[in-house]
Amino acid sequence: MRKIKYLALFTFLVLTFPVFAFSYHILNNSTSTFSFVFLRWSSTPVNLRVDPGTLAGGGGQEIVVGACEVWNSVPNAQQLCGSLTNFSEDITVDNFQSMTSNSNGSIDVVFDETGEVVAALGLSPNSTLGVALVSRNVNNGEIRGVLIVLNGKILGNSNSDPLSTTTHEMGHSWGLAHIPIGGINNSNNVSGLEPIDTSAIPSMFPFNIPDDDEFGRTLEIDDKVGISVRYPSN
Amino acid sequence: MMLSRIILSNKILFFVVFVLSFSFLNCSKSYATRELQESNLDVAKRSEAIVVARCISSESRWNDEGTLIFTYVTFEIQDTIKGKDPKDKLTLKLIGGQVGDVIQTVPDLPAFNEEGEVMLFLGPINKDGYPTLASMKNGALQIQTDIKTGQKIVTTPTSGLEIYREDTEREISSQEAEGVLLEDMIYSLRKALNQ
Repeated sequence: MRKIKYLALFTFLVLTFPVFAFSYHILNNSTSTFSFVFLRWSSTPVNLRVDPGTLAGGGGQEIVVGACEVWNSVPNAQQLCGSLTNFSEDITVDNFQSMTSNSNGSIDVVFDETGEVVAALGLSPNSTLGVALVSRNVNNGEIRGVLIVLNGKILGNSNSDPLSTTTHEMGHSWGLAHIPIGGINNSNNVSGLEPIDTSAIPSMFPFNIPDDDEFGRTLEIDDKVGISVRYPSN
Repeated sequence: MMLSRIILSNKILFFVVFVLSFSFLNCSKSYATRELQESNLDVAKRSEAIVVARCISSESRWNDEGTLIFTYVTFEIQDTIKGKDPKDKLTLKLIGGQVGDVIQTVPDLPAFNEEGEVMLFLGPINKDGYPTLASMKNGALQIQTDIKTGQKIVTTPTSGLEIYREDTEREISSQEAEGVLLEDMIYSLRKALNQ
């Protein structure tokens, strides 16, 4: 009887222990439910090629630089962003398929001012803030290249912040998936356990953050742990 | 006595490992997009068309430039809830897919299985002439058939949409709903869109 009590107490403690460090999710290459091959670059830093055009009417390159600084500042993690270079011309729906590459070992960033590139990918230009297409080897999950498209048609309005979205999509570029933390927050009245403050919602939450989307500019512990585990500095 | 202790400790160890394993499993699907947060009702109002359709084919191939993989998914339309498209088939051209040993994905882009039924919420036609998905999260609701009753059920959870029973017109859910009969979902959507 005593052993059963100890077991019940232990189980209670385990289930109620904060699991922030395990809340990050990593994109995986699994083709079955029971095998996971996590996606990651074989070497860092990774270079970026950036659209020379504008984003939401403003400078896009500065936003990409800002997002790189955020991810490069994660404690106990490798430097992820390498050099930034510009494409030779503005990327539009007419040339993005020939100018960019999803498998050349770099991260290509496109500023889609009209939403037409997003639509060309089959996605809604009226609700998709950004998208990251990750190309990898099916056998080992090695990331070969990433295409990020940022939707300037709606970024900057509808309570959406370009830097937060860029930071988020760049997180996918490193192999991070979405985090569900934030779905129950003190702004959206969704039923469930204790809601999280909107300022603490991780950057890898899949939607714009209520109240102020600029909260997504800074990484939370779940974001940081995900990177430091996948790309440890030692 | 010693053997029983060993057995009990192993059981405890197994139980601990079993419980902790749920902390590590990536149980949820993961999107590689960031979207505006919307309810199903918001998406329905914004959609240019809403159809119930059955997937009849899916093919992935490289684009002409050899840089991106697209998947072409063709559907047979079974019912139109919104929109006036008289066609009986439609094809989505979606980024991502697998060709050879290369996979390109926007994870959690809705997956379509041949012969599977879905309710599609469609956005504007793109420059290539293909309709877009109105939403990543709420753009495709999965439909399953109950083996026992033969009734079709929308298995994807919805939110922000009042659900009514078609036969009684009684409201059965005002917020989150799961496992709704297809006929009730269609009725509720038409009711909401006509208001």
